[in-house]
Amino acid sequence: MPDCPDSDEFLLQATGRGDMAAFSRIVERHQTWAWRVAYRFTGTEEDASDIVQEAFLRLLDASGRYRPTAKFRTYFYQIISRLCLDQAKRKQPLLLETVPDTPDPSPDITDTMMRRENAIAVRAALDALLPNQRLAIVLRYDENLGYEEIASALETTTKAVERLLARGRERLRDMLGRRENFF
Amino acid sequence: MWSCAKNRKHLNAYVDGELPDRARREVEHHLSGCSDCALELDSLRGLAPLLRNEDVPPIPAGLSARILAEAAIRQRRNMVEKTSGRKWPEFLFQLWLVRGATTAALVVGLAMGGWMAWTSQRSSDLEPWMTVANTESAARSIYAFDVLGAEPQGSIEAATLALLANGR
Repeated sequence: MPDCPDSDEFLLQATGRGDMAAFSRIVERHQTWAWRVAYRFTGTEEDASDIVQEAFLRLLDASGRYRPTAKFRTYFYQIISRLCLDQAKRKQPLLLETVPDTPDPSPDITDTMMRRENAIAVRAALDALLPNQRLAIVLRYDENLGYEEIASALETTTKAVERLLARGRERLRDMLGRRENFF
Repeated sequence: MWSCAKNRKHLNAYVDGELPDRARREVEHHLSGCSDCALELDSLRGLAPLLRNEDVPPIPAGLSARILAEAAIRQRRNMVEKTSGRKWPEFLFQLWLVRGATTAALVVGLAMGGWMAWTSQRSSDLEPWMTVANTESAARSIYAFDVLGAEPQGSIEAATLALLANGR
């Protein structure tokens, strides 16, 4: 059993014994990055909310069987990755017109429009990737994970991750490279 | 020195800082003398600021409360299952099974009702000489089971009197 009573592994084991305060602490601690991964992968708040909620509930269900042989984050990345890929199987790619507005504090309207246009282009390019390429890109760029961690989350090898990232980047450059001011 | 093809094969891992020392030195050696590969490297690095954007909206208000509420429900359900010592299999709650069971219950109910109506009709058609001599069993069949009879067959008091008369 992990020594530190505030470690994620300890809290998850406590959750497995029915301690809902420990579960609440886990949700509070990890919801931000879980949300970020899910949102960057899906591009919609609704789908991202569903994924985050289901991920935490699966974590709760699995907490009774959890043994701290793997790091908590690795374990949770796996759950989220599976849910993201399952969601991609069910869902069609997002249409350009449905890219949501994001708040922009900049008063300069030209800058705002440029940013929005770029965000739409990046979103469309991400959506054009294969789901596992998109997830590898999200985990690499948004979460700054190394190949080993991405491989663990996607349940594959580091070589496969390298290939996924290389192909994903190639596709992104093909799509975004046509636009001015990108590179 | 590595060829451009070999160098580019390793550029992604180089950008990500995942190359072992020796391979990293080879890539850097190649890059120092190859402007094409250096451009390729710039292009790969140019993706980072685009992809690491901050356009992620805040977590919807109430999401964590929703998660915790659902978690509490699941936890209670698990506790009940543990204390009752049995777990209802998930398949019992499938819609097709519920619909099938309801239809089957309806069919069985209708069949039983029809059968009872038919038997009660038959008993009211009997000739006097065909009546059952045993008053007790007749009273039971008339007063206890003939709920679908065409006309009222009497009351509980009448049945009791019939039974008492037979006893005497």
